Amino acid sequence: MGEIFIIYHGLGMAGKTTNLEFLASIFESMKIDRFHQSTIEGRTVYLDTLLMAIKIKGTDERLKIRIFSTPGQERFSIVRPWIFSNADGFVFVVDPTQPLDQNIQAFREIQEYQKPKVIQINKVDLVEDISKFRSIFSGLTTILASANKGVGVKDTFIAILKEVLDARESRR
Amino acid sequence: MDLVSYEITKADIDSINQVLAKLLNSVALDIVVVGDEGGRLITFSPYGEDMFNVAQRFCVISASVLGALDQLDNLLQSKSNFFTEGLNGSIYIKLSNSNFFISVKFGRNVMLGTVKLFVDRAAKELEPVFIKIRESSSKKFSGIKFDMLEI
Repeated sequence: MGEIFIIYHGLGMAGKTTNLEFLASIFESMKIDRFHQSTIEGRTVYLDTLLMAIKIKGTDERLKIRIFSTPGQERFSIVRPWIFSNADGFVFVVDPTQPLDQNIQAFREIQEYQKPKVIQINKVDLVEDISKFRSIFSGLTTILASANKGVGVKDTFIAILKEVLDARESRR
Repeated sequence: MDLVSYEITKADIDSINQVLAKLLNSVALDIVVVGDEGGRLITFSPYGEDMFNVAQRFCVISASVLGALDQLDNLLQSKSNFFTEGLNGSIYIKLSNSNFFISVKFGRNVMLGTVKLFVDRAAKELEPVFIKIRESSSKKFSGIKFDMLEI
């Protein structure tokens, strides 16, 4: 069984865990496991993981997908490099309700990794203008989302999965 | 397709499983898993389909613990092993030089010293296998394209 490791990264409370919760629900039949190590406030500490296995057409094989979301708070930055270095691809969850420079600072943590990246601008229903966020990440696949309503969650996952597989294919 | 940087053959898995079987015969462990630093499950014992999810979770969490310990390396000088004790059992993790680890769960009636002795011995015995795996680049790549997925 092949395996892909995807990281959801972004500021604390950007909606990373919400994405994983919806993915677990959307792909319930493919879910292997889901666990979330969190504080009493629901903030991710170290582990927020969804394990899935997607059947490959015409075979009995499955592609295993491990999705991690990172603890978003700045204080956890020292524990993130281990997670990042093992990733096959990244979803960066933008929180447009937070300052642009803070989002950029969080993005810089994954920028150096030469792996596929997809941008999800979350909480689009909470802000009037997202143009500055769109322009700063132009050149990368960008999905607009309201993760707490499930909007854009599946599209984001499909996009990163496709980019990871395409990137591997192009390196063959 | 495997998106891992190394390749494991069936012979490698068989070699590892032999050592794990010997380890289980020597000391009463509830479960032993072998994984890599990225939390990828290599194999586990005792084997059973119903144990797969337990082994998978145990593997990911063990790798995460080692990942966290990595950040304490300047304080500890070495992150090569980890032990924690719970009410129902204890866990000991041994990290090899090749960044594969052996993680075991055992009951309260089993002495930690015995576990460490046999797990460390198993790790030493497995090191040549781990080195061989690390040195192998992925020679076989049966690519999976996105449209091949039932999603």
